[in-house]
This record gives sequence, C-alpha cells and structure tokens, in this order.
Amino acid sequence: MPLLRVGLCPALTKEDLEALRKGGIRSVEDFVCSDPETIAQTCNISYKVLLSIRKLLLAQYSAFPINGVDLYEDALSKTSILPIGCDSLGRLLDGGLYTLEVTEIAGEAASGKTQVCTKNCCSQYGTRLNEYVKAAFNRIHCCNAFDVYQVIQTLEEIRSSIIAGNNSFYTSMKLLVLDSIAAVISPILGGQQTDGHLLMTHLATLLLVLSVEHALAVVVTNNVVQGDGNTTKPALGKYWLDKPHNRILLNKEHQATLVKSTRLPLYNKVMYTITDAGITDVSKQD
Amino acid sequence: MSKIRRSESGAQLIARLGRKPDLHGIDPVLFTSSIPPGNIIELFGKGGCGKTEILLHWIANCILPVKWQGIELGGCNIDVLFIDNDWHFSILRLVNVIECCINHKIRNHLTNENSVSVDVESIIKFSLQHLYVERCHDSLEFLISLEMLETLLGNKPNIAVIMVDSISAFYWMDRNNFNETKVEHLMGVLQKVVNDYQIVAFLTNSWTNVNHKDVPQMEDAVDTPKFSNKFDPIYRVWQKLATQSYHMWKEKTGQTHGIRLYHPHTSNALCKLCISDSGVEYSK
Repeated sequence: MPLLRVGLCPALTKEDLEALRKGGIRSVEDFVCSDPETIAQTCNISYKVLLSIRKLLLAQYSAFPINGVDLYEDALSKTSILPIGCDSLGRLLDGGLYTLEVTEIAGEAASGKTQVCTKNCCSQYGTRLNEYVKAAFNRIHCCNAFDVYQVIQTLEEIRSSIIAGNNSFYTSMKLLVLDSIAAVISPILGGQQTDGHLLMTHLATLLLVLSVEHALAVVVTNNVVQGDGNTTKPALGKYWLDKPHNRILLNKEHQATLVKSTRLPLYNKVMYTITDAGITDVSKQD
Repeated sequence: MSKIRRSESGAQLIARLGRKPDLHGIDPVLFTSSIPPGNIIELFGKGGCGKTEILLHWIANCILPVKWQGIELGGCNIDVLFIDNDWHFSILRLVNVIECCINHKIRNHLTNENSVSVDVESIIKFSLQHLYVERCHDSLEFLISLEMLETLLGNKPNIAVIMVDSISAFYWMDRNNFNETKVEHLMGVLQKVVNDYQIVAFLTNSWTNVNHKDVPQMEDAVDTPKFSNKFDPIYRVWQKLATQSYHMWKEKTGQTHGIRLYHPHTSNALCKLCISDSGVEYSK
C-alpha cells in the first residue's frame, strides 16, 4: 500500500502532505477513494491542486492497456518450448514446458517430483551432459530458501534484477523451479492463522507475474492430500487450485495425469519410470 | 468530483452518447435476445470450471468482423477491454479459438459457393486490434485502472464490453484490512462507468455460495445444486452489483466433463457445454 510522500508527484508539496495527513489521508488508496471536493474542504487545499495530484496518481498507478495485436506479436516472439527430458511427459504438455506459464507438479512422496525438476534443468543442455557438466552447471543457480518470506524475498530480488537488466544470468534465465511450494506454505495454513492465504496468494501472484511479464517457464512442485474416497488431490486447498496454468498429478505407480490446463485437453495419462538417468519413458526400458 | 464537473469534452460526449453497437450474436445460445447496455453480468464457479474459456468465446464473437470478403463471420465488430486480475489470459489460446471459429465459418461458406482463398492471419490481426488487455498486480492497481476507465473510454469510444477476470482475485490480499467502503467505492466506479457509457460488463467470481457437498457429481442424480445462504462478505457486496448472474458447474459423467450453467435463483440448468480445442461448444 504506497503511502503519500513528497516527490511522489510534482504537485504534492510538504505543506499539502501535512494537511492531508491531518485529514486522515495517508495512502494513495485513501486519496483516490475520497472525493476531491470533500478533501478540499476538510484539508483546506485548493481543488485545482487536488485534481492535478489525482490525475498524476491515476496515471502513475493504473495498469496500461495493451492492444491485442501487440500482445500477440509479443507472445509469438517470447514463447519458447523447453523440453522436459522425457517424451511421454512432454507429450502430456504438448511438447514441453512453455514460457509464460506456471506448471505445477503434484504427487506423493517418492513419486518423482524432484526427479522431473532435475531432468527439466538438465535437458536444457542436450543429452551429453557429462561433457558439458561444467559449462552447464554455470547455467544453473540454486537458491536455498526455507520459509515463505525467504522465497518471496528471493523471487522479488530475481524480479528486480530482471527489470534492472544488470545480471547476465537473470536476464537470460528461462526456467524457474520452486521445489516445493507446499514445504513453505503448509506450515502457515490452517488453524487460527489468517496470514497463510495472504502469503500464498502473494507468492502465487509473484510466480504468475514472473512467468507472464518476464517470459519464464515456472515449475512448482506440490504435495498431495487425501481426497474423497481413495483419490488424491493437490495440497494447499481450493484457493491454490486455480492459480497455476497447468497441473500434472503424479502417483506412486509412476503414472502422470494432466488435471488442469488452460490450453490442452485434460485427463490424458502417461507412464514414466525413474532410473539412474532420471525420469525416462517406459518404452525405452523395454 | 461528479457533482462539480458538469462539463465534459466533446470526445467524452461522443463516447458517452454515440450509438453503441448491438451485442446480438455474442452468445446466441445463452443470451437469446441482445444484452441491453448498462448490464453487469456475473459468472461464478470454482476454479477450472471454464469461466475464462467462456470469456474467450465471447471475446472472439465480439472482436470478429461481421463480414470479411463476403463471408459471414458472425462477429459483432466491437472493442473489448479485458482486465486480467488472475494472470490467466493467454493470447495464443484466444488466437486458436478465433482461428477455429473463422475456419468453421469459412467451411460453412464453402459448401454454398466455390472455393475462395481467405487470409485467416489477416482476419485474426484485424480482430485483435479490437482487444485491449490490462493486467493488475494488486487491488490498488485494479481500483485505479477502474478510475481511469473514463479516460480510456473517452479515447476509445468503440469499447462496448468490459470483462474482469476475476473480481475475487485479490480477496486474500485484502482480507486482513478488508474494508467494505473500499469495495463499495470500487463497485460504484464500475457501476457509474457502465451506466454513463452504456456498456456491458462481464465479471467472473471464483467464490461460490454453493455448498459443494450438496451438488450432485453424476448427471443421473437430481441436477439442481442447492444454494446456501452463507455468503462471504466480499461476495455479498459484489452480488448487489450484478444484474444477471450465472453459475457454472463442472460435472463428471463417465469420461467426459460437461459444464452446466445454472441460474442461481431458480437453480434451473440453462445449458450444457463442453470445452474442446476449438473453444466452448454448447450441447443440446
């Protein structure tokens, strides 16, 4: 919630700011929600000045309308498909992970969630990884964050360095993996805690913004909980459910199902297996 | 502000009073007659039940031209503003829906006449010019974008439809300092713009007042979801605004997943639809 301060816009002087504070108007939101006529009377500021401040604030804080054609051309130039490293899982997602999308991989413990992430990262550099191990590892950054505040801070730092363009790693980054979201969100959900959903929504919005605005493919992993009967459903509750663009559900029988997608037909199932080389197709083993 | 400013610019006057195009054809199945301007239509349902898909279907019908080189495309040729609070809008998916729609219309046309070569890409580009997308990071940005609507509509008088996907997006972010006056202010701004400029607004809401355990999962069961009276405050506030609301419900019948639209007050199933690669398809 941005506060009103001197320098926010040229028309806002120190005297006016003091007068506004006395009238109980502290944030941009308070200012925009109040009628300028009322403010003019209670705070004794000229109506004309208030209107010009309002106009500038509106222009500064509003979303910018983008024309459909620009959006289309932008999407065409920025969309890339990252191979997932396993043909069957790739087929499930129509080729692989798309940039501008958040993909969730949910599954029980030992169903291979982290294996999918590891394979994703490796398969961006071709199959002969051993020869390129050194070069490739320079292209993977690993951040440890053990609570939700650290995760949010790390993501905010990544976002600001992408915007500033001063870090060659982050400006060329294409894939962001968060393993796992349940580990940081589950402890703060439930009971009398009211912050949990707020932080979860905040984190989810941040991931969506990073993927859509900065053309990244984002992968998050999630645990599962017991649903009705013998079924499993993704953890974190119904408010998390509609956040990611795609969701793949893994089970212990090593079957992957696409349960949510904004662009593909649902409930396709594929089998995979986990070997020394990570996640692979079943047919290759036979 | 509105009390004092009785004067307005010529551009605003034209935008406000200019003839608004007919919305007939946006959805001949659901809206059998044209939607009168000034209406606010709400769609609510759980995540993943197809709210955004149905909006894409309506966008396609709005922005497509009425006719292209003598081929009836069945569009409305009006401008749409889409406010994406959920960050789920995919332009590539929309293009796919539009392309399927155009190809379908061309195929119908070809059965009557000889083959004509049509540049589908240029129809798509022409149509997309009629779409504007705004993405909001938080409720402040959403509020201020709504405040700026008046300026935007003054500059772009062809905008006749606003879509907000979704109004419930920032609920948890605002929950701790939930303030009914702010939401009412937001609603007031939207209501005023819709009335003054005689446009139609479509809102989606992922909050439902339906008790999920009461709703049948199978088609064979009694197919009327029971609407409970437990409203969340934010839901109650928004409900005052909508002139029509529809409830979407996803149901599993064997292998196929159908979606039904209900009228929340009468609980009557209005129509059934399914979502395929080419977008929304209604089934009888």
